[in-house]
Amino acid sequence: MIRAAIILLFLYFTLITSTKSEENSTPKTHWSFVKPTEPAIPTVNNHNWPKTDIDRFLLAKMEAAGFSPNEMANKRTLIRRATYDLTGLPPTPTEIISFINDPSPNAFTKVIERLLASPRYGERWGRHWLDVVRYADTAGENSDMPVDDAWRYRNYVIKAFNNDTPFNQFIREQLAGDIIAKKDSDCSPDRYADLIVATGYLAISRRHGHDAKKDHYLTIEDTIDTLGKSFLGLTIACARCHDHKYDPISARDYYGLYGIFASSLYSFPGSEGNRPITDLVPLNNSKEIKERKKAWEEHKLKLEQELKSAKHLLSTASDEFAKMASQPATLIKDGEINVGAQEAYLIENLNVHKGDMIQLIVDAKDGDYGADTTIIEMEMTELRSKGLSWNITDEVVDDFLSGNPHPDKMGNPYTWLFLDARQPGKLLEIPVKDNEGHIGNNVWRTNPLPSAFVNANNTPIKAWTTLPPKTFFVHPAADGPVGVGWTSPINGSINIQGLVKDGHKYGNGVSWKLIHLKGNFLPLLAKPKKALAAVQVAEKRIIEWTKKEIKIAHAYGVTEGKLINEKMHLRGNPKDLGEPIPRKNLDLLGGQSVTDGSGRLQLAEWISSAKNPLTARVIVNRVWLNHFGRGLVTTPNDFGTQGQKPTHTALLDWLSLQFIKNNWSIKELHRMIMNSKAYQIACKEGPEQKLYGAFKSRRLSAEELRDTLLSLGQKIDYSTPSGHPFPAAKNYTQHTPFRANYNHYYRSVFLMAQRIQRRPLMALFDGADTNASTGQRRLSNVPTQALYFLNNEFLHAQAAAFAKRLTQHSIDINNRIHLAHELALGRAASEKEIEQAGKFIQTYTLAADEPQAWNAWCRVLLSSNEFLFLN
Amino acid sequence: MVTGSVIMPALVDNLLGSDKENLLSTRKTHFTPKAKRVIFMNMSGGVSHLDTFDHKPKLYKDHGKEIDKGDHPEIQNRPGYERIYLKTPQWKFKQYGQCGKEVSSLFPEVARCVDDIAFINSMHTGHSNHYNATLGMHTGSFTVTRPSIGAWVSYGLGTENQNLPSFIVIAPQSPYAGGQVWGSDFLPGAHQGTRVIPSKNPVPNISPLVPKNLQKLELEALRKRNQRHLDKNLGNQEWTTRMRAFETAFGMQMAVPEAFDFSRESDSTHHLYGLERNQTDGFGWQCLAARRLVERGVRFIELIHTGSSGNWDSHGNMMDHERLAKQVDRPIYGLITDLKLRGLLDDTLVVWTTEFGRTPFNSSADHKGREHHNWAFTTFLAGAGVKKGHTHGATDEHGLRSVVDPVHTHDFHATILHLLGLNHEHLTYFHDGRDFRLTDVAGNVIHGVLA
Repeated sequence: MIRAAIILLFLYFTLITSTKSEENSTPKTHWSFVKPTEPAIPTVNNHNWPKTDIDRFLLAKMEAAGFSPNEMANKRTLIRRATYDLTGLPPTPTEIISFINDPSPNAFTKVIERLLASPRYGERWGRHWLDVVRYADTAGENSDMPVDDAWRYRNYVIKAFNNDTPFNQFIREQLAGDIIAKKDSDCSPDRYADLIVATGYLAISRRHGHDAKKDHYLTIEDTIDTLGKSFLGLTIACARCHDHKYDPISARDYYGLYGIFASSLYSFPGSEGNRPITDLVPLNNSKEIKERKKAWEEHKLKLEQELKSAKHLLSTASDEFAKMASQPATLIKDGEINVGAQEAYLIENLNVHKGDMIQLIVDAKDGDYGADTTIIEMEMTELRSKGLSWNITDEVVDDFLSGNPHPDKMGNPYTWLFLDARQPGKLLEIPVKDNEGHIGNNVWRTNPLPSAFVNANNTPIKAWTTLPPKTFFVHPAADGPVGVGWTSPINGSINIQGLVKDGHKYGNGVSWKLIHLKGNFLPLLAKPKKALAAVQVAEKRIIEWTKKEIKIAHAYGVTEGKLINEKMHLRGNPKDLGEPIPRKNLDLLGGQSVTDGSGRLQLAEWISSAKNPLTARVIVNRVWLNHFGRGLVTTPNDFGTQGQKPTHTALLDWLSLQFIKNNWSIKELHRMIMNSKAYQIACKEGPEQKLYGAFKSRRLSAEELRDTLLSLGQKIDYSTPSGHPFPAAKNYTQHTPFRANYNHYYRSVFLMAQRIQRRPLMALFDGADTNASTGQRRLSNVPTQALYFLNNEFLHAQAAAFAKRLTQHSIDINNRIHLAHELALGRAASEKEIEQAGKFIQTYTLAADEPQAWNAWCRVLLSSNEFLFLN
Repeated sequence: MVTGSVIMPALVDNLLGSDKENLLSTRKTHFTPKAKRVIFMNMSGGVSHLDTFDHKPKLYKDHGKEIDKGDHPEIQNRPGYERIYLKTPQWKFKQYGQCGKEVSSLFPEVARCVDDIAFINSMHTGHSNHYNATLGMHTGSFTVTRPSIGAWVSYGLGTENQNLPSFIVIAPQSPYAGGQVWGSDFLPGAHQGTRVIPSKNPVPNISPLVPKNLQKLELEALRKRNQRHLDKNLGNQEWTTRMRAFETAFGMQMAVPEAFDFSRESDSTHHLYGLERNQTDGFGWQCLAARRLVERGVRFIELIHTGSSGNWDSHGNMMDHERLAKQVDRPIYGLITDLKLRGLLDDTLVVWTTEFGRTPFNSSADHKGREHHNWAFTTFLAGAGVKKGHTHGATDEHGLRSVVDPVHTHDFHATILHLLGLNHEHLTYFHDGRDFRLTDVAGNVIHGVLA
């Protein structure tokens, strides 16, 4: 009696709440905020149809709507569907045949088990999670800094799916892996590293601005936004500015969470306005390695000291030289050139003594030293005897870095000098090989300018300006000139001729002068030469030692920081602060206060709790969505009052409770779903789809398309790569942000993903957004995609590789065509198709040639709807 | 004007889009529009208002005078900027046209069009970094990624031509903030800008890799294969859509290069844009391409000059403005004049902008450059629905702050949408549990620039 009354009451309330408009829904009554209760398995009229309880839930709704389920998909369709679904790749002909030839009632279950055990599974389902957490390999601030260690988190996610890490544990690791690792003294080194890497979930939050440290509040907002969407299906970030009337999340909730992340230390990727990469988290914290690292660092410090003293000696020697060079000189000639101009000079019959010095000095005009790269030509010809001559270009370009002073071709060791002419005659000190990464662009300079440099190549280099081949240049400094000197190895009379030419078409040109310094410089030049050799030895030692660096791998992750309670940002303005809000759980989930550290571990426990009404439902819905192409809740990132209600509330609740019972196993959830009849229904257009009475066909994703193309041509590399070939020097700016598009044959989940630009393939075929959580890919169908199939070079290359595979497989046309259909479409070719293919090959061969005909035929096959869509 | 598919004009309305609803079909405006399309010229790096279209005689006079540094964002805690001094413009201004607008000698050609232009001398914006200000000028957001104005316009109006994308960006280099400048973000991907790089082959995947007769063989084989598949599988809307997409794509292979092929343009047209025959780069090329795209029904065309480097960011030496102005002055004049001659200016909105202005001061009066300045800058509008020969708003006597009728980027956006018949408060997209707008929660239409 009492029980009946309770049930009636329950039904009454259910009715009331479900007819109420969404606006009036409150945290107490909104469906997703109420903990699911075990629903009864519905009874159905057609007892024979259901195989599992999922089928009973679905069939009951279909029967109520007057539908009956479509027929079952055939075995070929089914294995193609399941293989793409679990691995993102097509089934092989052998896999298809063995499934077809397996008459046992659990044949499909065996296929599911095989696929779940494949490492390809994690690469596909890990990608789904990477969509949700808006994974990218770059930071997203103004220069989009590449993040060397981001890939570790990517690989961790793939591994977690392959290992079927219980989802509640997966949540805890991503939010608080570092804390768990430190608390667990029995942690193996591998496990320790994984736990640290897992916090990449937080670290990959988007960075903002010029000095990304200053705009960290936006990064925390991004963390909270993604946290809410990914685990809870809530748009928490809306509460940043103020409370919303119908929103269950208050601004207090927001800043309660904010404090947790403000009390955590994020690895910092560097940024234009704040360069150093800091707070990476070491993956190995053993005492032994720390000690080895310390010893290595101490020795490096010692070597650096040695270099410092050698440099000091060099500088002293150089000073002595400078002293003598600062005596009054005779001006021989001077001039000025404008942008793009040049000026030749010729001095005849100049008397020189051995040890005299001729200097050519180049200076900026009006203090504007930008774009003052200047080409210098200089040749001395001795007049009286055997026609001795010295040419700077010929004598220094090829072995520019061999010394300063630099020998001439006769072996006089001190003939050519490269001068920091700000203090008359000081030698430029620091040799640089391959400046700006350009081979043969070698420099002598005193930081940062002035500099003397060469292009030693036979071809021009495109650097800050185009550097012509085999050329010698100088560039003055902001505060003074640069110069080149010639120390006379002879007593005699010479002609000097040469050229001063603007080498960078911007700026305002330069002034120059040729001077003659008398007195014997030669004795003074031995010391700098020797000191320089010592510097070079010391530098070499450092390079050698650096090769032996004790490297500790690091994660781009998060650790505990300085604990604070964030003051409320009034109207979202971080400069307009209100009262501090103690760190806490969302009121919706209990509102408990943080009592331990930043609170991340507690937060992880609150979110991953079986009592949390949202977490299990949200992930179960994601898994369902990726199997069926539509979620039971069609707004997978929004289970709040603005989101859509489930189409099958009882089924979602039942599955969520089963999921928790099965220890949050994602693979077990796949098994439940895929072993149902509902998953195995044939495709059909029509209203039945909405109630799962017919399967919905879907387009391959960008990754599935690329991976399939690579696999058909047998180009694909199934090994797991580590990081990307990012340049070590990260001097990117908003003017010259990081941009790259690395190509490889690994699976597409391993393609480098940037935040300020999208890879063309991903932009065209609806890849995940790298800036905000993608709950569901929008799969568009537009003519620019058709253009890709018609004219894209990658597609043409893969089709050609596929054609080559076919022609190598057999000389028989029919065999080739059969194999192509088996591989690309998962079925044999029909008589008609063989006939038409034969005709096509024939006609095309007449107009082109046979290999081209096969390439073309493969393109047609790979452009077909049957290839691109799954049934 | 070409408005249909090259090969199957009758099917135009159903050619694009993935779902039952065609994403790009023409959509009703909120009220009668003045403009049907937009050419949005973006001068990258920050054009000095003081040296171009905002004449400040007092600034010449007060050269060298120290001023209070206030809370200017660019010089807070910046070494060398403890004290700041006014710095004179380096170019002379003259009055032009019937309206008597004062324009500096940097823009003698644009000066000839002043009677068709409404200048906004009182612009200001939310950030003084290139990246953020550029993002703000394009998306209304100065921090996070949001859909670009071009994507919003494509979403709000659809397209008149199915053979060309609705939103095309002609950019020789990547701009500040990269592809976010033309991204569609949460709006459907069909609305994202297609970037064209001035060159002989400006659009990806557009040039056939096999001769046309062979491509036709392939397309015929594909059509047959798809038709068999369709018949066998009881049909599917997506599949028929995709079959048509191949027909459209086939047409695009001709329509797109044709739009960028100037060989049939007369010598006098080339001359008008300051363009040499067979030249395939430069701002003149971009402007003439824009006119041709306008004729072909492209909804939103952005022309970027130049990109994230080698641009108007003249910190070191303002004289660099001369080089840059020379690159754009004649082409802009050519574009406005050409549109007018062809009657296209009546329903085309021409927008000229930059991300921010440049400071009237520097660390010393003799400093050769000017710094970033988001407190004041100048933009202009011309064409459909725009008041002619007008200047809206004003800065103070030194061009430091916008003081009369200040216009924020949000207001600028609201006005552009208004001219297109769209109410910026009603052009929304539901995402993440709420409605989003180009103008966020701000923006007022500048009625003063409307005809």
